[in-house]
Amino acid sequence: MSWFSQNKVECIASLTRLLQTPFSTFMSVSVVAITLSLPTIMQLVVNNAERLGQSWEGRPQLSVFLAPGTSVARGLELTLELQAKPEIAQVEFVSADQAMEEFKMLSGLGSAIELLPENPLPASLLVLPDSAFDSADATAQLQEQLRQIAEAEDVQLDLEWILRFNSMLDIIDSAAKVISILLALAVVLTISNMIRLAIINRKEEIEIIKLIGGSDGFVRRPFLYQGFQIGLAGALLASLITYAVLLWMKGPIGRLADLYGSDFGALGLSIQGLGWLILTGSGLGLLASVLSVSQHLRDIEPR
Amino acid sequence: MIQFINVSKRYPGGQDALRGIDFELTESDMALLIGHSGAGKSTLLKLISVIERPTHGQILIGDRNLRSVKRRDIAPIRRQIGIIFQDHKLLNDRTVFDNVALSLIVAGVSYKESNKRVRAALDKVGLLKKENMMPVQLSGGEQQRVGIARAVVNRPAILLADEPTGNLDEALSDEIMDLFVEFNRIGTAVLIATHDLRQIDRLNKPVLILDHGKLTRNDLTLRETLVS
Repeated sequence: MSWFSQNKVECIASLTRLLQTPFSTFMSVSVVAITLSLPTIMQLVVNNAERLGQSWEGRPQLSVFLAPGTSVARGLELTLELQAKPEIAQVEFVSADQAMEEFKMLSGLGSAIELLPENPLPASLLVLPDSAFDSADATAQLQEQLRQIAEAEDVQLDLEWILRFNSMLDIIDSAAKVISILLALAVVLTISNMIRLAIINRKEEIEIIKLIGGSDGFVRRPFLYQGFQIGLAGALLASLITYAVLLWMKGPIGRLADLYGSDFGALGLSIQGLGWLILTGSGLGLLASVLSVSQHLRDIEPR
Repeated sequence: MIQFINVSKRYPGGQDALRGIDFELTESDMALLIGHSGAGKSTLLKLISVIERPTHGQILIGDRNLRSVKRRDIAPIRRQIGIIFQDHKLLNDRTVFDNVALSLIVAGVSYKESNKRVRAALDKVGLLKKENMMPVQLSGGEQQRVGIARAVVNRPAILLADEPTGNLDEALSDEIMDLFVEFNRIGTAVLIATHDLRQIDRLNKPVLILDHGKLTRNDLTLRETLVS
């Protein structure tokens, strides 16, 4: 029998064995599924919160107010200089006249402003950091750099709350990653224990197989398939749980977005995400069975 | 085929199970291993099937020394040996056919070939009509014959049997022993551990008598070339 045929037979036999005890298999798969769905949902929440932040003009912007009397030519020169920096994505020069026009339009005080003896508004540079440099630290550094410009009278960081929001998201993201690792460990331990019990239940069979010339690989294979299949089934059930939870959360997320005037729609599990979940579940199942089999199978020898 | 050269076995507790055993079993040999309980019969069979390793001496199967054989090489050696147990060691959740086929599955024999060989082996032991039955539905003698079919289906070079007629009546014992004679006639070396003195007289085959771990009678003397 070829290696492929032997594996096919073992894979089907292992699946049949799981289906022969539907209740206990369902219980085991459910434990794995719930454990896998928790980090998946947490990661999706973080991803959606990040998207929500971006939909609120998420990236911070710096306003550099130039000293009175700075010429338009100097302003444009500074624009070109700053544009060349890698940490800056975009620079827009707003002359004092442009600022005044804009103010007139937005404030509705057009005729009153005309009465002023001179334009009180300074020229400014609107600096948008590159997405790779929009963290709180990088933005603070850029703010410091911009303060060094001789003509800069003040440098203000807009949307500082977004930075705080992003920092909080970073903390939640890090916590989600740590929790994911711990839950992955829980999946490994759970499946590993299931395989250990399966090995104990089939101790007599293993002894007989070894006695009649079954290699370690032959004895090991069904348990590896079993771990893989429990992990895979757990991942598939976890994806269903995730979809159900997101469906349930759709309403509250929509209402929150409405409050901020956003047309934000929560993103579910993408095909790529589903692929990762399946790969992770089956991979953890396989890893758990490899660990369990290498620890317990060696101890079972014919007597 | 199997050569024991000055083999001793001491268990961790310090008890000597076998001491200075020398004999050679060739392809054409069928021998009976006799001794009272605790004489070392089972230990000797365990040494051949690499369940235990000798403390001293050499056991050769072909060109392999079982004392120093690596773990990964044990399975191929066991596939050359058919083992029959007094308690049959059958899997009760599998049919007669599946129990016998197990020896071929572990050896990687194709399904088509397996089907043919399992049926031939079951036919040989007279159980072809019961291939779909479970072991618990069979009598003790029939279960023993399933064990024999499983042991011979992979055409082993050596057949070992540990008290194969222990729980059987005289007629069934004769039937089982005659099967061993038949397998030996087609070129399988057979070594049977037994208490059954009637079979020893009936079969008239070479005898190895063990007493407190020592061979007191050896009809399979080691060839001079080996000793030297």
